[in-house]
Amino acid sequence: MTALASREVESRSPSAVPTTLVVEGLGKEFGWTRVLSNVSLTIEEGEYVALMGSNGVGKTTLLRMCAGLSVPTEGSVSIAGVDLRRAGPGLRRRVGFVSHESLLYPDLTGRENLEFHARLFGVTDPASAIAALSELLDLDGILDRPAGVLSRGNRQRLTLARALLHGPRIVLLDEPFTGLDEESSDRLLTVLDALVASGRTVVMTTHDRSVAEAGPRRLILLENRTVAVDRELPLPTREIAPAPVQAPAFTRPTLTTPPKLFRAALAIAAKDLRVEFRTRDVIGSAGLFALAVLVTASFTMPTGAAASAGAATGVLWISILFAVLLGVGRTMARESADRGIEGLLLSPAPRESVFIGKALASLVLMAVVDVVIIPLFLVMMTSDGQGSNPLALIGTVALGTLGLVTVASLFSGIAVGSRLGESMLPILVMPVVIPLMVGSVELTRLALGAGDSTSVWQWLGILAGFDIMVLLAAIAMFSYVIEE
Amino acid sequence: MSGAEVNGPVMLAVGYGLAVVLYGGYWIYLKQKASRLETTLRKVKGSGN
Amino acid sequence: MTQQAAPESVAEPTAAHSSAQRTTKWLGIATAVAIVAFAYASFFYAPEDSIQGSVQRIFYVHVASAWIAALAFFVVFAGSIAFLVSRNMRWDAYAGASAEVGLLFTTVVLVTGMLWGKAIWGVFWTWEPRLTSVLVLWLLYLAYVALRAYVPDPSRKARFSAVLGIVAFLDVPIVYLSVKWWRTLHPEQVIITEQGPQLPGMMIVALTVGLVAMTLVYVYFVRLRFNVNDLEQQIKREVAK
Repeated sequence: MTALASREVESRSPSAVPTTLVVEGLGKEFGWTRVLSNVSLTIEEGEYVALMGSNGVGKTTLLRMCAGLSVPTEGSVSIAGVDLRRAGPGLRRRVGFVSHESLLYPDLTGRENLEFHARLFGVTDPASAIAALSELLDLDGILDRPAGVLSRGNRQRLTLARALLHGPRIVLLDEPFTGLDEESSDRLLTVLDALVASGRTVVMTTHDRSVAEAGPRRLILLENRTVAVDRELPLPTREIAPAPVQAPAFTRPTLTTPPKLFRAALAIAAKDLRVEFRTRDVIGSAGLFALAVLVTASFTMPTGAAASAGAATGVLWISILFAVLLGVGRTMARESADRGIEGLLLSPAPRESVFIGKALASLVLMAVVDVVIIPLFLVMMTSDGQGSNPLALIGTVALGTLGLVTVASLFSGIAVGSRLGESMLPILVMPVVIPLMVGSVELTRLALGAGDSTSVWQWLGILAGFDIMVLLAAIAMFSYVIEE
Repeated sequence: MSGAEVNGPVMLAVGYGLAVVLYGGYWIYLKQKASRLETTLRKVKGSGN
Repeated sequence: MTQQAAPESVAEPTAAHSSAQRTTKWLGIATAVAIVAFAYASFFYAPEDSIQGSVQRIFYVHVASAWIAALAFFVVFAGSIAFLVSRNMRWDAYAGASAEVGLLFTTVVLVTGMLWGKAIWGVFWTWEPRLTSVLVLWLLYLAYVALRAYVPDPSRKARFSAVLGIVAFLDVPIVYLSVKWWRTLHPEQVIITEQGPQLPGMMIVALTVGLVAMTLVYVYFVRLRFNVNDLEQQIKREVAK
């Protein structure tokens, strides 16, 4: 392991500034409840720290603020001398975070999860980085199974692989030993030893004294919302010389510049579409829902010629709206399953790319629903679309769906965080999209050859204006929705 | 506009009446809530010491 | 208004706190006086409308409430932006209080508008553009108030409702235009009399008195609502201790 350590020192990042973690006057309030106040700590590079304290004392919150997942109410966290709030993407790559949740997408395999994260972090050669971690963490047989079916111990190994994939200098772990059997615990301890030996900082929370004494050299005890004890620990009582499982060499992956806004968004969208390809949840549910609305609502309309030009387009847009509400709500709910969204927030990907990626994927899925619904509508509710302008119809449906998906994507982040969950989504979306609905219905009617065609530019203005307004608002404000 | 003369004063009275009920009701609601909360706050503070 | 109330949310009942209470009390008295003046102005001072008759007097409370509702929602918008920029919970409290009070004003606008409509158009509801826009506005801010009720965690509530408060306000002009154009495409047999520039001078005086009175009602209500919020906050802090 000493050979490993020296190799690591040589391959350290070119920046000469040591990756010191400095916490200064840190405090956090969740609404009216104070969780932490006036916490100050300095953790030097290469330290091995156990963060202890009783339940609810703020260990997790402190760790999450160090990872940049939670915004401090007061005080600051800085890494290598840079305040996390002003941190560029480079700084995020110096931190690896193992949360209590796996932050993995349960429908993707271990390898797909890791490849996705490698892409977000700008790992040059994901395959060899994954292969190296597979050896270190013994991921054989785990990598090619969906993350959702793995046992707690196996998932924990995959979670650790996700956190180490980009070769972070600081590894933060939240209760990593919970639910692990003895063998897995021993293996984890060995890996953590190897990380420390390679010059990395390891900070973990635990409530288990025996764990804290099995490796860490420094103990920080939180009491009454602040640091009560901060002292060195004696050398671990367990035998360390012949580690129970010999950890293989830990090679640091080479990194390129992490993907910028659109490439990161594309990676996120591709991930969402891959999940959908696996499960077919959204297309299935939203598509069937739209179809059911279309058919059911047809029976509420007057029959005859008036129907085709008039109320029918309204029914069409109601069915598209319902499909969007269901489909986009589902897409966002997937992010909160195992807190996958936090994996995105930990990555150097710009926060705006999260919104753009999610919305892009939803747009593709809703386009598929449109492609199914529109021909059915033309056949069943108009005279097979005779006299219609196909290009105008496609353009209208595109603009209308874009607006609906944008609003729904922005608000689904809000709905998921409310007490009502996804049921909140329609309440928020429907009043806001009223102008979009009016405009889409009128333009669709015009595209079908009915109505006063001189008003086309007015409605196009409404649709375009609405789309631009909500897109800009969503891109600017989505980070406020997903932060903590 | 023949209906206007019949309906007018009634609608005016109902309109202002409802406005008074809505505004006044909200005012009473806020006043009562505030005094109830003040009592609770005093109790909570008392038990704290 | 916001500057005035700035020192009052200190948790302990300090001198600033009791002075704020005194301000609120005097504001309440001023509001009551203004309401009496407004009632006099709209019922006795303003002349009877030659076409609509006495029901036209509903115009004063209707329009004054509508203008103040617009002001209230602008305060929600401004407070939301201020909160997202500063992360000061006070802005969120103002935005939340203003939305609730604005919703109340909008409700009065809708109710008085419907009754007025019944008297002069013969129906309670027509999809007249301004009235329809107010209905959408009402729905938007009902969603805003509902959202606040359904997000228990205060900091999350503040962030979420700020986002909605901004989007809703930006949406209002688009709503108005779409509803107006939608109406011109689907006219109904209703004569909409245009109020506005041709109002006689005494009617303008009465409306001005109404605007002053309603502004005072608004400021007074927001202060009371803010106070309620402040008390709730203090109780939660005490309990959390």
